[in-house]
Order: sequence, then C-alpha cells, then structure tokens
Amino acid sequence: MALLSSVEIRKRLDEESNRKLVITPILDPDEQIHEGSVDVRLGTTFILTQKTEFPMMDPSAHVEELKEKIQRYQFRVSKRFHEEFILHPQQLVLGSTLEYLSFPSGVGGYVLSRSSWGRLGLIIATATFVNPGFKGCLTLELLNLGEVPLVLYPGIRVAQLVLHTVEGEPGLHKSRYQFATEPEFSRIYNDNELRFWGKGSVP
Amino acid sequence: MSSPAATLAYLKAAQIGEQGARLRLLSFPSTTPASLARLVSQVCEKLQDKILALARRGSSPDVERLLVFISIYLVDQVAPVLRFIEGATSENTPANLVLPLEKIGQALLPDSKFIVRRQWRYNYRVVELRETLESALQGLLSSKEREAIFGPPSERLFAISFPSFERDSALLHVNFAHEIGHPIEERFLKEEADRASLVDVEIRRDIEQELPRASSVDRALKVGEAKSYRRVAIQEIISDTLSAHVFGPSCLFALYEVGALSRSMDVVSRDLHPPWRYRLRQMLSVLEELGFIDKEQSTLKSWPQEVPTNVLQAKPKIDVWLQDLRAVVSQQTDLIEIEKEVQVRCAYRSVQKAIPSIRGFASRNVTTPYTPRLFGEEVPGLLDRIYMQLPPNQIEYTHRRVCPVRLASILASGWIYKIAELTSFNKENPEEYVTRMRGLNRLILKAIELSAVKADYDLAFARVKNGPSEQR
Repeated sequence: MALLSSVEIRKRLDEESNRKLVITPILDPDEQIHEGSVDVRLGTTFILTQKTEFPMMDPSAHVEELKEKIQRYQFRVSKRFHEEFILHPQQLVLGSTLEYLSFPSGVGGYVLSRSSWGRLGLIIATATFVNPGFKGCLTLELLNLGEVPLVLYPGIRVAQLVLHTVEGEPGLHKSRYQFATEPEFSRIYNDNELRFWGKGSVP
Repeated sequence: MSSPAATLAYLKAAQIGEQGARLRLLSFPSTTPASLARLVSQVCEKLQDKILALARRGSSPDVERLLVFISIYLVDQVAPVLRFIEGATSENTPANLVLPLEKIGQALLPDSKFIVRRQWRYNYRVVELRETLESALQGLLSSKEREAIFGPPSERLFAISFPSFERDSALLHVNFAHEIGHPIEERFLKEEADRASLVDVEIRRDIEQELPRASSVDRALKVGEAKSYRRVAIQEIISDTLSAHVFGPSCLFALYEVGALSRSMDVVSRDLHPPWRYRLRQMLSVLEELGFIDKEQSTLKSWPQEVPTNVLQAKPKIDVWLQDLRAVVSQQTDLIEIEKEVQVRCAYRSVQKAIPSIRGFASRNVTTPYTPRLFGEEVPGLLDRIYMQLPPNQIEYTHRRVCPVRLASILASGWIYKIAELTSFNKENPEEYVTRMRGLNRLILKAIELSAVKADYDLAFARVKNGPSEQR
C-alpha cells in the first residue's frame, strides 16, 4: 500500500481505461490536487435531524420500524450555490461531496478534514475509509466542534481525499451506499448482527 | 365601523399576504418563486391600503360593489397563485434542472421569468401568472402603481408545471421545452393575424365546397369549429417544433413516452392537441429536416464510428426503435379520424399548408439551436460515461476533453441509454428495473448540476483572473 503522489493522481485521472480513477469535476486542478491528496467540495444537499420526531435511536429495533423512524428523524435541505448553510456548535448534519467519485479496484482512500477548517472546529467525517471500487458522491458527516456557528457554502473545499494503492487481488466491492449522488442517511438496519446483540434478543 | 364587505376584503388580503410572506421563506432552487411570493404580499398590502381608503370614504352601493369585487379577486385570482410557489420548493422540484431550464426560457423569451412547480395532475402545462394577477387590478390601481409592483409591462412570469411523481424523471422533463414554446407561439399567431383573413377565407371556401347545400348558419358554425381545431393543432405543432430545435431527438423520445399513456393515438381533440400519431409524425419529420435522423434509413445520423464498443452497440438499438416508430407513424389511422368530420378535415388541411411557415418560424426564434454536429460530438462520449456508471457531465477521450457540455446532450445520452438498455423489466426481478431507472435519473440530474457549476465556475474564475490584469 502506497500513498499516491500528485503526479500519480494526475496520471490515474488521465488514464484511458474503464479502470481509471474518476473525481468529477475537478473545477481547479491546480488548487485541488496536492502531494498525496485531492481537495473535494461541499455538495448542495444536506440531511438534518428532526429531534422532536424521535425519542431515541436504537439500531437493534425491528427493521421496518427502524426504517420508518429514520425517515421521520431526518429531513433534506437543498441550498443553491452562493447560498449559506449555517452549522451551529455541536450540530451534526450529513452533506456530500460535490464531486462524483469512481475508484478502481486498486485504489482506496481516506476522507479527512482540511486543516484550515479543522482549526475552526469543523469535522467532516468520522467514517473515513473509502473502499476500492466505490462509485458515487461521498456522504460527509459535518460536525461543528467549535464555539461559534460556521457559515458553509456549497462548492467550498471542505475535505481532502488521501489516495493509496491496494495490494493483492481485488475482491468484489459491495457497499450499502454505492452510486449515491446526494448524502445518504444511515442504513444501519441492514446490519443483521445488531438484532442479536440488541436487548430484544436477551433470552 | 367599517362595512361587512370592507371587513371581509381586508381580512382576506391580510391572510393571503401572510401566506405569501410565509412561503417566501421556503427553500427554492432559484430566486423566482420567492420574488413571486413577495409580489403576492405586495399586491395584498396595496389592496389593504385601497380597502381602508374605500372604507373611509363611507358606504355606498358603488363602494360596496368594489369591495366585493376585491374579495372575489383575492380569493379567485391571488390566492391560487400561492400553490405555484408552494410547488416550486427545492424539495418539490428537480432542483438541479430548474436553473438551466430557466436559462433556456430566458434565452427564448428574454423579458420573462419562469417558475417550475409540481402539480398532482398528470401533464405538463404552462400558465402566465402576471396577467392573471394584474389584469383585474386595472380598475383599482393606476398603471404607475401597478408598474411599481409588477415591473415594466414587458416582463412576464410563467409557471411550468410537471407531474409531481415524475420529479426525478429527468429525461421526461425535456417536455419543458415544449411548454416554453407555448408563449412563443403567440408571436406566430400574431404574425399570422396579419393574414388571418386569408386563412379565414381559405377555411370558409373549403367548408363551402364540402357543404354546398348547408345553410349559412351551419356553415358559419363549422367554420368556427374548424378554426378552433386549427388553432389548437398549430399551437401544439409550433411548440413541438421549437422544442426539437432546443433538445433535438430527446423530444421525440419523450413525446412517444407521454403519448403512450393516452387511450388512443388517433383521437382528435378540439381543446387539447392533435392526435399523438400526427404529432409524432410531425416531430419525426422535423428531426429529419434538421439532420438528426436519416429519412431513408430511419437511423440516427451524426454517430461517429470511433467510439467504445458499448456505445457503438447502442446505435443499432436506437435505429430499431426509430424504425418501429416509423411503422407507428406510417399507419394512417389518425388521418382517417381527421377525415371523418368536415370541420376537422378542413382545419387540418389548413394546418398542413402552414407547416413550412411554422418550421421557418421555429428556426428564426431559436437563435442557438441544438444541432446534429453538437449531438455527434458530445452524446457518444457522454453515453460512454453512463455505461461506466458515471454522470454524463463531461467527455474525456484523449483526443477530446469537453466540460461543460450542453444540457441537450446530457438528456440525449440518457434517453439513448434508456432506449438501448432499459426498455423492459425482467419478470423475475422487476425491482431491478426500477432501481436502474432511479440510478439513471440520479446520474442525469447530477450531470446537469456538475456541468452547470463547471460553466459558472470557469466564467467566474476567468473574471477573477482577468480582474487584476485589467487593473494593471
């Protein structure tokens, strides 16, 4: 496993094959492609939580019940470019990358906060690994850990993708969140094992 | 104490104004719906002032009549406009598509603004809103007062509605171009009005020849009906033709899909539109004339040979679809229906004569048309992206890199993929078809967003880059 340099990233983005690396669009390659990483931008859709609709989240609940609760718990907000989105201290919202990604089977990655934003308190991802073979827009978990509300705008560079090669024969990539073009809410209900560990199955 | 009519009118104005102010705060994909909400609130405020002034004047039958008129106007004309605003929120519309569509509308009708909104009825339609709001105010407000609210008289405002559950059916929304065409067709009818008497004479003479023994009253009735049939047919054919200039072959694909939902391809309606088969025949003929489709072979033209295999393999599938369509329009059953009644027959004879001038009119009015050359340059590369499950927002061949691409090309690539790969579902796994269609629509909508933002970014960045050098 080796980190991809900016030269290698550009080479793989320019490759002529179905197995090429795709990050589309890169609006400004000179600004976005760095040594070992690519800056990605904030998309236009956000998922917010509607706390008054939901007493608590128990992921081991019955699938259908949980699905419905999750639907009630979330609502989507779209912002135009140049329109502000305010993230308050301690608020967690889901956003997504503006860019659509397609990783070949030999490339994986990590999504990290950009340090300039991190210093203001903005954390952009907690589930940071991007599988080889992933296709879609990445859901970002935006959390303001700072003291003051942050004004975000769709299109700003909020995160960076660190890319690396993957060793060995690629397996078949399976993801719950494949081909997303907007943020996707948790599908924790597909995790069958939780039903075993939850309190409902105590003998 | 004010009269009951004044109290009622004042209350209605206040309530509707409040609704407008509340709706203005919702999230919209463009600024136009919020502007309309503001307009509604302004109209209501102005009327509240008017009602107060009338109430202070004291009660008289004339004043009471005027107050009742204001209440009726508020309830019948102003309040229904609120539903257009409510249906135009980002959540209710294909938000990525709204701004590009507004731009197309403004290119065709420069002084106009457009709202895209959902409706529960299953059709696309366009409604002019400014006239609805302003016309009844002529007796109440001076032209200066009206202009202060509505802007210069040349500014118009249209609401284009789409079927609610088709929100994400990006491909079907090429029908918007047809709806934008409707306000433009007024120009054709206006141009034609100069020789309207000629058309009248022609239809009258035709009816006289068909019904030599009918009374003059019967003949006059038939002439009236024939003119109605003609007008409706002309309106639809102009809009279809204009849309073909804007979006090319996608209009044919979408027209067929919408027409397939009708009970019959051959029904002639005096109020709605010509038979679907007739419209499809006309649309096919326009696309042949524009050079998108080969007339002899019924195949797509402008399809390069040096393209990836799956893109090359999609072409024959489209050609088969076009040949099937040719078989559909070759049937004359709609023309047999048209021939059945004298007034319909005479109307459509006149329509047929107007076709060359309709096509000339469409060419003159779409100043930057979508051409077969652009189609050939962009669509195969975009289709290749869809096959790779990527949004078709840019072309990335070694010899050719294009971004942004035209909206018409994005939609055409989606239609071609759909026709080549998603014509029917697998009976064993029908859900897979729904999932794949959903995926295709998502890719198309994403591509529209990405291509548009790239265009805007390049433009803005060029300005930033040029800024300092200009100063130097």
